[in-house]
Amino acid sequence: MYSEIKSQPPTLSQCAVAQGDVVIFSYKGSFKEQTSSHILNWIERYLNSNPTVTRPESKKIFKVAVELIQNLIHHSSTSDSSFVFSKSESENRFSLSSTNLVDTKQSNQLVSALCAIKAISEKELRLLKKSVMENENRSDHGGGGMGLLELAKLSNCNIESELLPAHQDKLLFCLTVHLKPIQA
Amino acid sequence: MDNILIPGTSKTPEVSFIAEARTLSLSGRSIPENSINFYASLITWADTLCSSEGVVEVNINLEYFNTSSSKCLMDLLKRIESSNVEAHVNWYYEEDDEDMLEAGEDYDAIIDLPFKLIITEG
Repeated sequence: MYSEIKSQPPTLSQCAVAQGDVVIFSYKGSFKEQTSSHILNWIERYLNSNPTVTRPESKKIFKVAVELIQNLIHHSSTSDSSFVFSKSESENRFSLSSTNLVDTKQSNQLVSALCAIKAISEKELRLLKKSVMENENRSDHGGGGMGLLELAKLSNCNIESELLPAHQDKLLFCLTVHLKPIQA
Repeated sequence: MDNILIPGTSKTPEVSFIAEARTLSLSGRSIPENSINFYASLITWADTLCSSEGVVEVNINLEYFNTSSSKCLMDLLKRIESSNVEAHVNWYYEEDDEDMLEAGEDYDAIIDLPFKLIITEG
């Protein structure tokens, strides 16, 4: 669910980490190609060295990290962006979050896209993704709006967003994707 | 026509496009920040190859690909589909990788070319 905009300025932990979660990795700053490589290499090493994470789980986590981080590269131009990778022992899940500044128009578009995605079934989501894939339209970096659909699909729609006040006419858009272990 | 042989990196796939064998093979991972730049020359190469008749084999054996690469793969396959060549696609996916299997099924449903979904050991 989308929470209402809170009156107090947000902190990184408010945005991205649920109470009780353990932060495995966090980064706040500007996102460039090199930053992305460092973070993804770090996550991959962590996943490869963690025997409790199966390969299918590891691949899902990595794919979500790729989409969130590359989204930050393409859509954030300030050093207010952040990425957090965390784990909840009690709920047995990993969470990955990205936070970046957006203007009102962007926030409306994002909220409406996420509402639409969350309102449809898994089967409909796959059909929607297929239709976007077929569509010739694409953004400058090539995704054509598929990022959110992919994140929703990878997480079985276990995706949350929050808008928090930032400064001037900007809002902080926090997107969190939860991944439960894959059942054998 | 020159071959395209590009070693894989942590973000881009190994590319082996062989003109004489008429094979286009991608393996590894495809998660570049700007996939359009990476795939542009590959699509041009495929266009040239497909301008002459014959059998074309496409091998896609990717561990990961990002959403922008998925659009570029679609472009590549659509270009081959719209040509007059007799092409087929071998789509490899790791055992237990439901996402990659589903991606292969989705391309198969969209692209009018024979697809073979081939399971590999993870």
